[in-house]
Amino acid sequence: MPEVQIVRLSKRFGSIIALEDVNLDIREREYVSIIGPSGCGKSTLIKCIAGVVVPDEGKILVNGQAMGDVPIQHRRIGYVFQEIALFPHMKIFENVSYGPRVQGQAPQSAKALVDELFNLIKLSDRADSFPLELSGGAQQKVAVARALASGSALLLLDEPFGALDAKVRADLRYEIRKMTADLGLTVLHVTHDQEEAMSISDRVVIMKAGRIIESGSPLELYLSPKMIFTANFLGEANFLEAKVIQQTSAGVVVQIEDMHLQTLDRTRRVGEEVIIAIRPEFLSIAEGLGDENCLKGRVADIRFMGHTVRYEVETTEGTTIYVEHPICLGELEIETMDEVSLTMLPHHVMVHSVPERGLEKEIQLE
Amino acid sequence: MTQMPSVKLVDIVKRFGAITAINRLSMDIADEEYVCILGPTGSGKTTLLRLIAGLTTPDEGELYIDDKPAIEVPAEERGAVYVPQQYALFPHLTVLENVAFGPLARGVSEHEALRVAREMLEMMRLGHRANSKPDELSGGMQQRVALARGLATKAKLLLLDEPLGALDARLHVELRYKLRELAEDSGMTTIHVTHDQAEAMAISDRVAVLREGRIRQYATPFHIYMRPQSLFVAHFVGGANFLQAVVARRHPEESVLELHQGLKITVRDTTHQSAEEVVAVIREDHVNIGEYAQEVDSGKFNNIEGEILSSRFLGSFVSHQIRLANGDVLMSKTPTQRLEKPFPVGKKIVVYFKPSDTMVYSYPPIGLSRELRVL
Repeated sequence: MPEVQIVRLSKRFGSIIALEDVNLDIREREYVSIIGPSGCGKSTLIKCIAGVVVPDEGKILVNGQAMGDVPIQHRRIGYVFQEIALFPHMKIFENVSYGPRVQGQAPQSAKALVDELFNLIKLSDRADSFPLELSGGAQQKVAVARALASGSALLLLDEPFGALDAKVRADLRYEIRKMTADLGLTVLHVTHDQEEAMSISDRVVIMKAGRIIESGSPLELYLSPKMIFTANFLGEANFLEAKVIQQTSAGVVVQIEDMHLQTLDRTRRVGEEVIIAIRPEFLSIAEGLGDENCLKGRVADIRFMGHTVRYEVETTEGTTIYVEHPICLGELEIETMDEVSLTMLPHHVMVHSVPERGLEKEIQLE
Repeated sequence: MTQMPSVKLVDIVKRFGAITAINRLSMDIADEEYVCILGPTGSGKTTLLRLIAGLTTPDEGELYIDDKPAIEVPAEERGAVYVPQQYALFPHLTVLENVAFGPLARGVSEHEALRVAREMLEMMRLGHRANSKPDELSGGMQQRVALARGLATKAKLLLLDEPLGALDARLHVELRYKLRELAEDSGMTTIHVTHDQAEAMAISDRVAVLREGRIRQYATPFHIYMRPQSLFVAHFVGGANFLQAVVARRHPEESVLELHQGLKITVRDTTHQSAEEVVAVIREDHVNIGEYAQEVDSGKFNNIEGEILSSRFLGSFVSHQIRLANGDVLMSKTPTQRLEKPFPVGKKIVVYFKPSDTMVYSYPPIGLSRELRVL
């Protein structure tokens, strides 16, 4: 039985469509991240589940029970959002035990869970502090503990780390991930940070313009996305116009300008126009002519970015291809204006149909 | 020929009551250079930028812009454009009018101002919102409008305070290259404040790492990553593993360090004395992982047995947390290109790294955790 079922959910704000026929099943104990550009509807979706926004159509089931008529305070859902919303005049301990107290739970039964939560967030020694005496990261951990203190098994996180510094954010996401796994929670996490989503999720859901366009494990979505939008949104990609010229037992061969690339795609026909997507870090760069499966060009710019180096390579017909990977001493001899070959493995060549409305529009972020 | 520095700060001090925000800071920024000021919250970055902009006055020290003393020069006569973190757009003007205001205020004709404004909006991917009012836009869009307005002035000196801070991660990556390209094309000298080390490394000619009002290192991104001058810089920029050790033996070409529980590693560094307490620093991407039974050339690499504690897929990299035989925990970062699948938790593996990839620092007098503390 799926823990959460979202069935044909739609929501409009005036003329703006925030959600359009959204369907999603989340399994018990699954950690699902929802990502998408600003305005894609990801926050509206999570607000509908939390009960703070009422959908126009569709339904939400939690453990099989329709949430439509269940008021927020009875949904038993923990909800944490970006703005840290602790009671400033209450000590940390009082903040966390506030929920069980107002719900009239017996102090003893509530205390066991509150104590466990304090242990998990490693703040037992700060229980008597006031929120503003803690760092932003610690305050957000307290907010998560408070959201769970009433015994919710479903946790909704809406950009919970958005207001924190990059380093603090990276540590905190792993800590929260471990805590939710230890407690056996089902989690739905909205974020705009691709790396955050991929690093902690069982499954990533991509939203665009009010719809879910694709979902899958982080590896699946990164290495072989079905949608061209996903290929661009989840990481950088070079997009190249190509034509299928041959079918081999491994997959089709495509032509880009006067260069040929082997792919593992078996679904395309000879003569079909396609878009090839290749991630900058899957290209190996070398001086001179490469052997198999490579593109050729001239180095237009080289930029050292700490531990990676980024090359801008131009093909004879003026297409720009970016290559980026960790600095490797053998490559330091490559200079601007050098003729280079860019070699790749066939399974790193992603093949997509040409989008009807054009590539530019299809991958647009807003 | 040495280039005339476009901006030069000499022994600048700025105090706010008991707090010294900028503490005897000197730096040069060359003509047409793109410099990022990188530091944690509260390190003095914004104060530094406001001093150059002329919005606050230093208590001590000298400031030169184009070799002329600038402290007495009013902000509007410094030839600089300052884009603050809290961008203030005119709510009653459209996006296009807001951006055109930049060049108009500098005496450009209306026709030209509108042309430049449109061009900058296209660049910021906001051409389709030219006729909207600011409050109809998201925070990230408003920030791009403010940035477009700053860029449209074509000022000689561009001062940016966290210009990409409000943007979604994906757009952030795209626009940081645009921003750099634009500053370069129009020959602007740019000083850009950020707390995001990836952003600073990606776009700067040089990065100044700031902590508690002082510059800890000022160098190219390559140098900062490869040769950090302190444990703090190694930690704050790029991240690394920090292992406490004692120098066991010093040879002419290399040293042997003893880690916890007597585990020994060889390092190229020979600048530390025998028996000295040190910290060995290894970048996450220099820590290689091999199959348990794999033969590693022990003449070339340190190799240590370990176990995978956790593995995380980060897109272009896979990150593994490893417990070594002596109990120390290491983080490793492997390009996805070289490793199709993360190693499973619990798997026995061999960690190997080169003696030359280990940097060695004296153990800090204030303690390791305080030295590394970001806030």
